[in-house]
Amino acid sequence: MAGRGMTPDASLPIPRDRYGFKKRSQNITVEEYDKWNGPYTEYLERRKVKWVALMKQYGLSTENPIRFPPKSDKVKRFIRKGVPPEWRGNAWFWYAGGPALLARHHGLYWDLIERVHNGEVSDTDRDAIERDLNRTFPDNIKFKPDLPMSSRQSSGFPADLKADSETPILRALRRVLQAFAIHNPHIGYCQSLNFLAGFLLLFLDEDEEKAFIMLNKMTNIYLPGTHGRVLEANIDIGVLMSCVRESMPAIWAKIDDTEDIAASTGSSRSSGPARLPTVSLSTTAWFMSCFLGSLPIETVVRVWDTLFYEGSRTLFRIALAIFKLGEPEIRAVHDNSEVFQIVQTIPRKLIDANILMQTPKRSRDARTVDVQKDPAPKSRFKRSISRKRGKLV
Amino acid sequence: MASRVQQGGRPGGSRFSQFKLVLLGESAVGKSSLVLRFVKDQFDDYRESTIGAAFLTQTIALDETTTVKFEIWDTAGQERYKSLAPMYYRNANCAVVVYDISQASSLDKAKAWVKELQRQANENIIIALAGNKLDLVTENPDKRAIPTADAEQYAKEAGLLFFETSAKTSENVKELFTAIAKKLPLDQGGPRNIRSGPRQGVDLRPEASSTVGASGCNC
Repeated sequence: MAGRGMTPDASLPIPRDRYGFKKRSQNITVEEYDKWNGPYTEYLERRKVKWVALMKQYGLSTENPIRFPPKSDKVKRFIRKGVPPEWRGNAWFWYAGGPALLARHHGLYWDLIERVHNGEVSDTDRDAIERDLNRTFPDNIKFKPDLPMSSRQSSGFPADLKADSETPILRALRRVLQAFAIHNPHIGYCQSLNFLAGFLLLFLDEDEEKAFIMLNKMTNIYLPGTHGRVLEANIDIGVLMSCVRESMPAIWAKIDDTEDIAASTGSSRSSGPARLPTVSLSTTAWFMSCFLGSLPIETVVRVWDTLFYEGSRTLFRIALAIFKLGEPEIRAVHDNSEVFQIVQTIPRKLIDANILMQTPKRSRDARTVDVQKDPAPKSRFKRSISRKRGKLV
Repeated sequence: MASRVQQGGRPGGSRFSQFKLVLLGESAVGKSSLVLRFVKDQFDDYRESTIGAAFLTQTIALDETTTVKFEIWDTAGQERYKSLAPMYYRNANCAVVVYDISQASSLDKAKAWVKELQRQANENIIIALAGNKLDLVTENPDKRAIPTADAEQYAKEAGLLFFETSAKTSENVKELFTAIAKKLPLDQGGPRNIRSGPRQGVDLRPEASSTVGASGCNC
């Protein structure tokens, strides 16, 4: 079978969404996308009218606004229902405290770029970044433009065309990742930062300085340690798994294979991350990439709307909501390997962001959400996790 | 310790076994592409980097009566993910360690993975070494950085299966996984231990806890 570039419809333009991503993914067809997108587009128009009214109420501009209303319960509801797509990047930057961060670190990014030019990026980080540049959003037109019809019909990509095809956003991505690696020696470059930074550039009009500021905030405030040279991603997973165990016991009963693992590997090796259930491997990327690649793009942007407004508890709330929405499917399986497949596939099919954002409804699950309302959930959890990891996971 | 095998009878006396396979190797050597070729018979020139791990399954028929299902964990290649690696390879029956025949350093990484697996993983694990991107060398022999004989020699010494593969052209991809399947202990070991708990329907497999203790196959 031929690669995607050689499929029979190569002569037609590739159907793309409002952000330039291919509508089709492994789990969603163009038809499914269009069926959902019609009503969703009307929803976005209705929300835009409400947003315009809200902005006017606060005397704020509605033409490419850079300032947004102060936080309140009402604004939080508005955010959860989605920021208008064309204002999205500016709203993210505003609610993440971008303007103040930019003022505080005035000139920092360009100093770092100077240091990049002086060769301060380590060979390891430089090499790892290069390996990932072309593997960042190849489905987005700004990262990987459609080739002219003539070359699309030939087999593969001629070498010379490949070299020329580096787009401005890819060059910006390289600079942001290199500057970040110098500024954050405890992280350097970690796979998944390419997606975070690339997505920020896409929504911030390729403003590298803003993307850099936001990437710093995401990796140091929302997900401290997760991307570090000593990868702490399994701490996020440990927190998530303990929440699942406490709030969704029926799911936990299905996914908990830690006893089996302990029995087969011998107790000497069963401490630490090895005690996490196998299914948690499917969830590593949820945190590291803030759901990019796991949820459909339109759902990711809705999660990020809330992430920059409410902080890291959003990531845990969404992760739990995914398990909650998948509960009927997970409870129906009889074989672990099906559980892995289902937990991996559930988020990829969640094209309707509204359903995800509204889960859980006020119910007994509300307790779970309240846990996440702690002002510094992760740092607190981290401490408690390291204290009681043995019995927790 | 025996393997994590599920065997079930099927009408006509056919055999069905299930094995956990893990893919390891340096970043961008083509681990995900090998799996995509094997599982979906597809290839993308540009494939997104794998974050964390991806899970896929593929079932192959070894002969008319023998079916093998692979549960495949495809992992991220970057060095720092190594701290998560034990989660991937615990209980694995087999591993494919991948390197890029056009990148000399990638074989060193592969050797380090083999060493770790032989030290830390299931002691009966079957390991295959795959030198990927054979298509690059077919197009332009100058691109080869690792002579076939060198890798083959190493594989022999370390007791590994060895193939040079191309996920792009599909050369040797099926052969690689079939060779692994043939080496797996289809006849020994008990059922894969699926967590005890209420099961619906009639379970025809022998009870894990009572039968596997002696052979040690309990995973």
